[in-house]
Amino acid sequence: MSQNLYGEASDLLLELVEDEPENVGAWTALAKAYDRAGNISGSSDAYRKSLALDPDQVDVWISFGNFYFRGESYAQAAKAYRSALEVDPGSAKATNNLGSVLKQAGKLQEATTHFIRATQLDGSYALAYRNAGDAYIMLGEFETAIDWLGKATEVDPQNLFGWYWLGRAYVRVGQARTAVQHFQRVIARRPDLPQVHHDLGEAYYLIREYDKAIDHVKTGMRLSPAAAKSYVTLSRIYLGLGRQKAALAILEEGIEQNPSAPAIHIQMGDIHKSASRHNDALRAYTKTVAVDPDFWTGHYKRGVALYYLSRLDESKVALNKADDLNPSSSSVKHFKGLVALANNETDEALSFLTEAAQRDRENPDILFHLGQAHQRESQWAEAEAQFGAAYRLNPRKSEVLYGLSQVSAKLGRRDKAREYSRRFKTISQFEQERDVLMKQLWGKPTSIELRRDLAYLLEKNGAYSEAIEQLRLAAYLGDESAVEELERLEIQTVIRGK
Amino acid sequence: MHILSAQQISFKDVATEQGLNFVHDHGGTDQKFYIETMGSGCCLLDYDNDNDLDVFFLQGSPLPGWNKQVILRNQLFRNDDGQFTDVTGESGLGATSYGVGCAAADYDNDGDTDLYITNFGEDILYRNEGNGTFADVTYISGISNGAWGSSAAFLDADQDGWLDLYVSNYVEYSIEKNPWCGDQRNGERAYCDPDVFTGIPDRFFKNNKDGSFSDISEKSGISQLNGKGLGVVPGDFDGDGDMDIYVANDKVMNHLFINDSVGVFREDALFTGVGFNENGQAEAGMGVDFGDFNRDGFPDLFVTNFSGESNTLYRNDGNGFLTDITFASGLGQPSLALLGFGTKFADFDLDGWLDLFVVNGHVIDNINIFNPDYSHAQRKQLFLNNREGGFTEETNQVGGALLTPIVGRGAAFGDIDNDGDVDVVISNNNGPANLLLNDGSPQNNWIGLQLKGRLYNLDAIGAKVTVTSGGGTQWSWVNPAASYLASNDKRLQFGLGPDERADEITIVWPGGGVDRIENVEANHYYLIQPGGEISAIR
Repeated sequence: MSQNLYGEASDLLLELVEDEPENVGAWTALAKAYDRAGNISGSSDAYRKSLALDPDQVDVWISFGNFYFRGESYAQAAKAYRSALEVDPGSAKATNNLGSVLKQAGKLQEATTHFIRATQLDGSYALAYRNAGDAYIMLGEFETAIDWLGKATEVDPQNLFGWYWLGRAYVRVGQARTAVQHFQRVIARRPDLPQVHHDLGEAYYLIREYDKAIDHVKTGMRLSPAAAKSYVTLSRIYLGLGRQKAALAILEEGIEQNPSAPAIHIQMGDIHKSASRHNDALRAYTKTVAVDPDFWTGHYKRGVALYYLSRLDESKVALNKADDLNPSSSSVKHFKGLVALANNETDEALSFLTEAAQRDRENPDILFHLGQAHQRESQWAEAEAQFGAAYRLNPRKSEVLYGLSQVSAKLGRRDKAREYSRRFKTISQFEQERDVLMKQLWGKPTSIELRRDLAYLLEKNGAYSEAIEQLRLAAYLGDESAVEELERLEIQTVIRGK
Repeated sequence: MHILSAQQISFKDVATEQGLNFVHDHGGTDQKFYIETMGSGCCLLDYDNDNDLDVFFLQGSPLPGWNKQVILRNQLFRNDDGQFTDVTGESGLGATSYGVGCAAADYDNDGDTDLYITNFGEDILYRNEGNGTFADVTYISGISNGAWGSSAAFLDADQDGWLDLYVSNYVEYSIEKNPWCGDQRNGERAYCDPDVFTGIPDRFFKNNKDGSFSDISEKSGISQLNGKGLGVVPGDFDGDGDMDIYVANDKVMNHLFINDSVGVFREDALFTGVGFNENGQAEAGMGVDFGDFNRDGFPDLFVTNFSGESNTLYRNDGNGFLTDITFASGLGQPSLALLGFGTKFADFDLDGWLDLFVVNGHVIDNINIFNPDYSHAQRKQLFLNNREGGFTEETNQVGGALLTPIVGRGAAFGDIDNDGDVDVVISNNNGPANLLLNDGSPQNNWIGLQLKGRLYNLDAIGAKVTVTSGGGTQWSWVNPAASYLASNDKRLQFGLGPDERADEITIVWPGGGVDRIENVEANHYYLIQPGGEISAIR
């Protein structure tokens, strides 16, 4: 029904409630018609009137809640769902919807409790199962998510969303092969869904079926030419296959299709940045903020590129803007700290880096730089504490080992300093050799020999997953012996893991 | 707060005016041979013993594709009261090899300054014959270094009174195998990154006291490590009385060779804190010098690095460790966008505190295509000591010749016009040299010292000098080898600020012996010999 027809319906219903002001059903119908016609205040008033006349209408409370939910008035929505539950504590729908409000508010644990309760109230309620699965995905509990999404598909096997979400969850737990099966099931019935082709392509990439991966992402791209995600994903696939030129070319194509998609410019910038082409990266990031001035990531990445270009004043401005737009970002605070360190503003650096560390205690880079800020102030014990925390998160970071060797020496612990120096030297030499090979690979991305050398170096130094990645690429490039090596290393890695 | 005296300093380029007409030619065309972009150097030496500094420049050599109708050769310019005369022909120093760097000192203890030059190819040792000419004695001296030599330094490592020779070598490179580097997307070729090439060990030659040297690179522990050496400076960094050696390597760990007092070395840069920057990253070390900038009696180290990196100042903590205090000292941020080469600690404003001079210039001649923020030719930089443990860049305030962009490489520092302050000769890559006279009108006093050993180590290299005046105590060491591919004035200049005399001068002579001289009048150069014999020479 068009908005116009909803308008006409509203007029008729308005006449009806004027004639029959106690007609509860008419008030509810008017509320829904107003909602569809875009008359927000009218709809809200009509719902209130209906519920004032009969506060025991569970469905109307739920519809009223949905009305608020769609309008992103989550507190009001929650109030309405709770009213529904007061009337009927056994309402699965109200319970599920309240869970959705809680999920929206980031209260994921509470939300899952509600979704699960909804499934207990109604064992065939597929949406509640899916929501529980989705919430567990957001909680990072992928195995549990798979259980719930599996149940959703059991109770409603015809619902493609269930299979799609299940596929996504399997990707997250590293079972891309199973994910492929689920995505294929969806594609078989709905080959016109670009997002599913995209995700299927990503899953194929993970199981190293590169041609299929590229085909499906391209199909997604054809079905939805303006969707930035496909260009970004395809460029990542090309990049992973060592095809930097193709990675950049596909992004250029994406920009032609959708010049205002920040994600494409960001990816373009990231590729340049990883090759230390900071000026090119800066140009790309600048485009993101040109198309979306409120895109904090764009400002942040600009700030980072400017930092690497030693344009510290401009970097500071960009990072401040990012900070204004997203004050909770630890990354922004981190780089503000780095700019302050570079400007010898140690007090400011300490403040930014402390804040960044409070927001993200799991980031060894932040902790290292916080330690460094303390080091600048000759606060050796504090520096040691931060370096130590960074070391516990990642004992293979050369700069952290270096920092520990330096502060140990300052604190008079010569033996410890020697030991850290020794370990630093080993890792630093490895990193240097690795960086040289990687730089050479940027110039010769199809060189099987270089990839093999890099894989060997990585394996020798215990970087097994990176070594596997390089062997995988060598195999893709036609190195048959790499396949054997790959199998050997994969088996060894599994054994090591056990 | 100390008021900086930048307004008193002024640098004027008088190279053309005073006849220092050297033009470096790297001998290349457009094939981006790596050697083209790294040099060359220059030396200040008083080769004719007339108490003023003469200037020697290293020249490039024709590379494939180069076909200019000139002969490229090294050049020596004699200083005749401020006017320079090209005396290359008569001196015998006009080699046509691919010249890189030089070291000047009296290795044979005969009272005149000899010269060692590093080449892309076999290096050359020249003996000063004492009559205005030099003899190529490479073969008979037993010295042989066919690798790509860069900076070199004379020092008495085993304290026997005879100067030994340290030669830093850069990378393994051949003209025939010149890799293509640059941006393959647009086919823009550029000079390669040092990562592309393998580093090689440095060489160390022991003076046999008979005009010859023995290659003890292996025995001394020097050749056990591969570096990519560009800058070298010998000094007593651990304060045990013998000379250690610090080498600035390009993108690999810098080396600090600690001397066991008999010329056997143990490399300990990492543990000491001078191998990397504060992030544990190896930087692209180019030029290097040491000096006691904070007047605590310990030699601190300064290294110039690549653009995107800062130059690095390591403060000597006096306990065997040095600390990277680059950013805290104010030297970090101003150097990030520039690529430093020649450098020196010197008291340019004569206030008694060591300042820093840095010569910049990018190695990639088309860098602007790759990064529009960077330029090939760059300004020089002057950092004045703020007497609070740091520096303030005063380049813009001083202005003048400092702001003229150059592609600076070797820079030699010394009092060329004998007026008490430190001047600078700069060798620019593929361009004319500069002679920057420090010709401001500082109100400050100074004292200049030329130390001369008796019979042995006549240049007194390694002597430690303490000067105390009303403004406090300063320390310095005799050492001409520093900066980049260069040799500097072997005399010591001390700024005294308003003090009209040095209350006490203490000299700890290399190999032992201490002299104390009191009440020395300012604004003169003095010759001092062991036993405390002092005489004014200017």
